[in-house]
Amino acid sequence: MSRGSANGAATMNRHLQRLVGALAVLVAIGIGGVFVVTSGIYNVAANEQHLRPTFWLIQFALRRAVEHRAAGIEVPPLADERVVQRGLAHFRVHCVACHGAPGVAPQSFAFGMTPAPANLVDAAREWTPAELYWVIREGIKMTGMPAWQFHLADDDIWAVVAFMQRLPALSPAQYRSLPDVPVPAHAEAAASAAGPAPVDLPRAKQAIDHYLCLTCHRIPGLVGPHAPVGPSLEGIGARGVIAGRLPNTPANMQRLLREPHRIKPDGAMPDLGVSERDARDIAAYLATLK
Amino acid sequence: MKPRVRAGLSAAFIGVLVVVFAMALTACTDRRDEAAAKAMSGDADNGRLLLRQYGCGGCHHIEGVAGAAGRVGPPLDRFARQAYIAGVLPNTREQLVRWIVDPQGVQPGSAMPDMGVSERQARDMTAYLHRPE
Repeated sequence: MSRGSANGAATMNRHLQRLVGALAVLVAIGIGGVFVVTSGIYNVAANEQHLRPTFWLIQFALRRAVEHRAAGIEVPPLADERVVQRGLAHFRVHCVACHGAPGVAPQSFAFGMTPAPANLVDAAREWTPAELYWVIREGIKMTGMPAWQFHLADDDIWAVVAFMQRLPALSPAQYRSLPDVPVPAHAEAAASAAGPAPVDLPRAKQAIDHYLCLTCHRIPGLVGPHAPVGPSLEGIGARGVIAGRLPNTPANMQRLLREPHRIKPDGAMPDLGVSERDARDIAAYLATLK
Repeated sequence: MKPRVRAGLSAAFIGVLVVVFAMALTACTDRRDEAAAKAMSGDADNGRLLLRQYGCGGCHHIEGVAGAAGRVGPPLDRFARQAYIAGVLPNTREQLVRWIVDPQGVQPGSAMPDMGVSERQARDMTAYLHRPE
């Protein structure tokens, strides 16, 4: 009996020792992590590649994330020649600058990027159409790949995917000889023919991110730089005057968002190409900030 | 007392006098410099008073100024960090003084009226709005 309890005590002791050891290791890792972050020892420079394991881990996580999110996307027919042509037009204007094309180098700024912009012939071979659509529409954080959601209509994104399906089979000479196709206008007019979409506040927050509003304004309810370049928009919904001259009505706010230079020609707020729908959504969100 | 000791003592006394005098003098010039600097860059405490007296708080929220909770124009909290004044002028002290004195000259038609603020007063207001935080 007493021997059994002595044994039990010894086992307890061992468990306790292991627990303390594990805790010590965790604390050491924590301290190490804090040191790496606060000391500035981690190099954020774009001209220094990740360590091999870091690179592998990021690639793996990226791959899994895209697969997971693209899983339910339904792919429209992509073989129509007109769709492919439309995709080519967008591809030339929006993709080649960073990614290059068969026999075509990217623009010089793309050479300084880490991670390097992917070769799209390889991407077209490696990724499914649904995954390509997802990546183009949503973008990829911390890579330089922007989200095209607010810039290209869904049909146009699919058109780019359709063209990319042809990429692996194109020789550089064939790519060069493809016809010049003008970029079709943004498909917004077609959408508004069906009546304006209802105001969508979660979408408005995405739009605020997309148009880089937080690089100049403080806007409650969002995560971002909130840089104090222009005025803070805290309480903007209750503000009497906007742009220093207009009564703060929804219509004026939308006007200011779409054409700031019309209202203040010498102002620092640039024309950002905000679409009618995006201006409506953003103005609706700003109106909630009392 | 031996004459040599006496000479030493008086030399030390004179030395102490000189040091004290010099200190008083530097303190004086320091204060004069401070006053000159205040005249140049404005008096933040007076600026806060002026911001209240001119009713700036009727349109602007200004931290530290009693009753300044207006919601007509933009809030002026942490204003020193903001990059532009009225969306058009780079936010330097000189430009802020210019804007406060003559908003209609800078941006005709702006909702910000000419308040008849003198340059000296605007300098003080600027000192408050640009106070280090």
